[in-house]
Amino acid sequence: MERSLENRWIERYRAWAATRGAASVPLLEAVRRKALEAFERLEIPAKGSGHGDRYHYTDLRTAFAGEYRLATEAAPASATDSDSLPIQGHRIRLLNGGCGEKTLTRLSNGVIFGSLAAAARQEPSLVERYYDTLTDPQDVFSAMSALWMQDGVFVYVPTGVEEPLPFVIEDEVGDGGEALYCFARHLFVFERGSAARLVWDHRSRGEASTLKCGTREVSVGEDARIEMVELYRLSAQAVSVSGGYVRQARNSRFESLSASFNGALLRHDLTVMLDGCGAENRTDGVMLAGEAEKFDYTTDIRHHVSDCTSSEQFKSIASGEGTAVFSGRIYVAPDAQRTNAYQQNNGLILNTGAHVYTKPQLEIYADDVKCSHGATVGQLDPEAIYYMRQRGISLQEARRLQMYGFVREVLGKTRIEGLAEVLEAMAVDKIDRL
Amino acid sequence: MLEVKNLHATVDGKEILRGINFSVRAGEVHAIMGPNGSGKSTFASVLAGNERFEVTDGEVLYEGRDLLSMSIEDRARAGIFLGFQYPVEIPGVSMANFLKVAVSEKRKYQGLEPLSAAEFLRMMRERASVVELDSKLTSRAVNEGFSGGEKKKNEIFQMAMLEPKLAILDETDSGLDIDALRIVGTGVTKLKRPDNATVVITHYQRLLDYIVPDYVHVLYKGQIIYSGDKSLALKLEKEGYDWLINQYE
Ligand SMILES: Nc1ncnc2c1ncn2[C@@H]1O[C@H](COP(=O)(O)OP(=O)(O)OP(=O)(O)O)[C@@H](O)[C@H]1O
Ligand SMILES: [Mg+2]
Repeated sequence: MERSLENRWIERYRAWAATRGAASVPLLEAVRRKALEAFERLEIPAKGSGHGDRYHYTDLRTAFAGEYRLATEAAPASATDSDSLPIQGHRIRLLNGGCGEKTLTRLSNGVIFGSLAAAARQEPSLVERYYDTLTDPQDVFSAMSALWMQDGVFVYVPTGVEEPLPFVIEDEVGDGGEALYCFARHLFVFERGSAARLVWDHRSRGEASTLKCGTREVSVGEDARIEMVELYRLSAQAVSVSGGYVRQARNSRFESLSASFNGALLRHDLTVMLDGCGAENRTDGVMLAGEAEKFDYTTDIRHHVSDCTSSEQFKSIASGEGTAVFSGRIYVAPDAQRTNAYQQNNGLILNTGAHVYTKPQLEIYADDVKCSHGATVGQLDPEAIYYMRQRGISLQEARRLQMYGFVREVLGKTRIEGLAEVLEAMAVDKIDRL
Repeated sequence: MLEVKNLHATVDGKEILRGINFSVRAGEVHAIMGPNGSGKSTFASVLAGNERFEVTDGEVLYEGRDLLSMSIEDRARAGIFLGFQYPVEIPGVSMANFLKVAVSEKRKYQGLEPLSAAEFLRMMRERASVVELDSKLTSRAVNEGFSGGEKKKNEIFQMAMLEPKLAILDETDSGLDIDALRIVGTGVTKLKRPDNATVVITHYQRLLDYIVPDYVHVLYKGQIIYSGDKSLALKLEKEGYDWLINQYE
């Protein structure tokens, strides 16, 4: 294997490590050392390279080859700005992977949220119990993000607490004119019987090239009920490589919805481990890729035990030279009887040159399983457009109605107050540029 | 209102309309009959501006304007309404949203202020009752999962919302049960005004009991081969088209 790229990153790391002070958190440093060992034998995957076909359509190696500055010192995050979502909630602000002041907020009901670095310092035993416990040791991006992380998001909801207000993560990347890399690790712990909702807003500050690489771990306790909505509205030069590991205990429910609106390359890698009987997972997404944008959502839903349910619905529209990829693996372990797994992916291609790829992958080792998947890729329906125009609706509006009608079903699933309207406005805005 | 002269149209190079002459004045009701495949739907589609068909000869004047040079949506905004033989399903687009956009585009074209949300809702409710359309249907996606008859009723509901000057109804009676036929027939009659006109394309005389035509035309192989008054429809119902076709050929 040709390792010049990895070696360059290792040199970068050593140079940075030499300049770092001693005031670091032991727990994060222990994971960092482990990550360095892992990174020394892992490779940054090129397109199509092995790894069970996880990188079939998307080249991430090139993305890491730029000579960007590494954002190592967490800059202070901004106060509320005009781009901020009009959603009520507990704000967690990140800039280039850091929470600025590295503070933690504690609510009277026991909820703790804010900076992961602060949590590792102030709540070491809690963080130690969960940090870096769910990641895959073969995952080079989780190793890289642990290696360079300074901070990230931490949310803890204790046993039995139903937090009424959503957590709103305002995650900005960019720093005026300079091209940069930034890394972060995030940790979410939802204890038994808790309930919480989260909105994660990925935004750019400025137009410079950026690469954001983050890995999150989400532990969902027994009977917990969690909803997470993510929206990506990054600049045209921004790359995001985001990994997620979700472990669900008995009878828990985790619902996620991700909306990929803007960014040069958005790669999502989600692994869901259904480890407790009766757990329910819902993973939905919308990708609207225009110009040369490339959005790739890869999921691995792992039914490790019996009586779990998973459902995935992804809808994509691609125009220009845009590409949307959905690869969905469903794994059903030999003992995971009475599994119910559902997956659906529908794509619309607006012109030749645009691409929608869909790759279902079912690995089923149990016999009493209900598993269905379906994929369609099509074009706008000229009959429907003609019909609308015959009612006096302009061609542009007819296309917009049809495209929004296509993705509406998915975006409308969120129950977070006011969020569906926000997503709708953003989707329509993007659709007008497709 | 409408003046069609020597209209020829082709699809994929095949000539379907072969010299249609046809005129409609305000206040009139015309029925177009004719055997399957004779070109009735094609004629309606060409008037609506369907881009699948190519007009190769002839002209169409609508209120003195050259209709064939107008876009599909401008024809609609100028008052041409086509009730589709096969209404199209539009998943994800609600009836309410679809009609809101259609009504407001039309009002904009006419230089009118948009309706308020309350006015629009009231109008929806009122017009849905013209064809006794179940109000649940108006909250669903356009035609999605509607029964055949519901789709046809929905066409007339949309006509009631858009108040066209020239409505062309292509086999709006097919697929309707006896009660629905009466409701649709009387509904269309309720929408009739001295300044609008209706063209109904149908195979059966029974719709014409409700929508009484001033003229009945027979279209055959892309031409109007015979025109008469409403008694022609009765005669065709009894005797079929053979006597006319023999005369023509
Ligand atoms: N897209 C097309 N490609 C080829 N032929 C077509 C196309 N559309 C219509 N035709 C042909 O044009 C002719 C006229 O069709 P049209 O639908 O206008 O008939 P119609 O009089 O409405 O018939 P019906 O009573 O069955 O509704 C038919 O022979 C039909 O097959
Ligand atoms: Mg027809």
